[in-house]
Amino acid sequence: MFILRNNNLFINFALMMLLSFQTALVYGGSLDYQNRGNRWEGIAPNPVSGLDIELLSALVDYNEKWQPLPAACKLKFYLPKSANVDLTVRELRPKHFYKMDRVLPKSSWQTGFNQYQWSTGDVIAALNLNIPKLGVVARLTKTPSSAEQVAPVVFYHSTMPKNVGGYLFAFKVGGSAQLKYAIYQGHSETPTASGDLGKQSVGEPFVVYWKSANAQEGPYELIVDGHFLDNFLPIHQSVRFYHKPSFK
Amino acid sequence: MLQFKIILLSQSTKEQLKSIPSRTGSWFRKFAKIFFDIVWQGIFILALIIAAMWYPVHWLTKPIPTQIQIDLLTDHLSFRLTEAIALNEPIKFHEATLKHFDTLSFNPIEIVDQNSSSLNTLQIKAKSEKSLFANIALKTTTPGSINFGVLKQLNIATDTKIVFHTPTHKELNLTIENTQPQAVPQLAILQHASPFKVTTRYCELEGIPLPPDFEENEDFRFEVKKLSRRNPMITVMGQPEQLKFVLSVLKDQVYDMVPMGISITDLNFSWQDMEQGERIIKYANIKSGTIRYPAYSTIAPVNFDSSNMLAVDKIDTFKVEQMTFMPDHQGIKLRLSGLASEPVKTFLKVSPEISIDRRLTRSEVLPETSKFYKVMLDVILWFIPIIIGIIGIVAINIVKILPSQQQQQQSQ
Repeated sequence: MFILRNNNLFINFALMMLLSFQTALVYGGSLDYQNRGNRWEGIAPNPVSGLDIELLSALVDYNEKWQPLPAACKLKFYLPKSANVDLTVRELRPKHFYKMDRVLPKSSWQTGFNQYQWSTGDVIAALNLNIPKLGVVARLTKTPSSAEQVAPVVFYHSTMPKNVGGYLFAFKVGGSAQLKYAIYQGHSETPTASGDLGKQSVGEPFVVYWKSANAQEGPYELIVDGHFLDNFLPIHQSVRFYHKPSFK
Repeated sequence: MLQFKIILLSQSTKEQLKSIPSRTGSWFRKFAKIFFDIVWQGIFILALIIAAMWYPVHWLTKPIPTQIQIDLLTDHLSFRLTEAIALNEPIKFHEATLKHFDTLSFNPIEIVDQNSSSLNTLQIKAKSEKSLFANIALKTTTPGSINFGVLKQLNIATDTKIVFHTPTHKELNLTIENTQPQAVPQLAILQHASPFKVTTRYCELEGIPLPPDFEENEDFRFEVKKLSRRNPMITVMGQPEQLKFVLSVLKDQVYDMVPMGISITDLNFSWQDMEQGERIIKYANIKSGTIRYPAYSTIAPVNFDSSNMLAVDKIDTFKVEQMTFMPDHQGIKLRLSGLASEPVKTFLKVSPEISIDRRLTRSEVLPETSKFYKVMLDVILWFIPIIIGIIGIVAINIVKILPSQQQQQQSQ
């Protein structure tokens, strides 16, 4: 069973690599991950993080129709105080190995709302990416770790939502695991929300959804914890973020 | 054989020699002169051959820098890091004793056996005047395959000495030493998902008041039923120069200790200990070991066992391919590879003064390099002494003949 599962993984990986290779052949080197002025964008293999659990996306729950493909993708996030932000956009399930990061904003990220947009014409259109399946993280800590601090991002192209109805946090685990989550406000030890995430498989993205409609503005912390199924080693991931209910 | 013939000859002619005394003296003198000539000529030629072959033989048999791979299973080893690393894999334990620490802090939610004044953060600090003797033991209340603690993270700085010692199947002693003047205290993170008991000695506690009649040299005990879910980590800050863990480990798995490919130096399998006031050298129990020569597949590997010891003078160019703690085998499996420029010696523990450098020599390497070198080496080694011998004999005879020829020429 293990061999069979590994074979399937290998076949999937090989097909993905073949697809990437085919795309690269058609578009030459223009889709390679490279400096595109104010960002680095393109096809780049994802290195294995080696983390027990990895945050793939931290988004405000908001949907727009992405067909037909707009000219630009836009990101908006709130910073309670000025900070360095490491913006990363990538596929939740790597198919084309799309990545956009190392963003250089026009001016440094400011306290309050910040916005960034980039053209879909350079890479996204050529790859025909399914944009709702992209993960976005605005990381306030330097590197991915078990204690993250993020600014949840609104991912849109034309109309901004007026209020925040909820958040979507996507993760993947390095081994099959039994997980649960809890969201805490401020320094409280009593969770505002909690739930069971059940069994999660290695490499498969899963989402923690928090409906924040009635939550007060302020700092929150999402805890995803549990243990690996094979060796019972504990897993603990903390994601700190600031909840700003309104975009006014 | 020659001696035997000479004896036979002297026995068979004994009577004749007795009856002709004048001739006997002449024959014996001749025999003695010839025998003496042969002996001194032989000695001279041998000396000539030794003198001529000394440097080539020395050149051929001197150990040279050799690409080697060392595999062994040992219960003790120490080495120095040439780069900063973090512990590769979490280590599960049922009991952890910490020594040479500075502080240990965690956020308990529920404590029993003692009254806690604050449950925000509990900090246990080694008493500065007793820091060498201060210790903390964390013991899982109901140890089992799913109830255990974990040494989750251990950051180790460059130029730090690490000592691994496994005195029993269940125990791993892990010591980190840094004698650099600007040494930074080591940071370790432990995690306990199940209740655990804490025993401290020579410590100051912030968050739990000590009983009024508490003596300094007593153990102070309490049980942590639950840690904060938001922050379930136990943070340990070591002394700048040292931090030691004694872990009672679970035997259900093996642990890769350090990242593959790191460079190490000062690898040592011996240490000094005090016994009855005297310093004695103790040796690791290397249960099995092999030295291989990856570049020369036909050269047989060198195997050594627990009666032997390995000494590596310098291994600056060596990399760790594997360092796995195997509780079942009560040891650490180590695989190193690299270019051994300095001696790699094995010796018997009972006679450490007699050691063998296990690096290869040119006489071993050259035949492996090509068939041509192999044949040429054989030819050179056999023919050079023969040619030198012939040259020596001819030279001696020329020297002997030359004076008589000169005499003849002068008489003519």
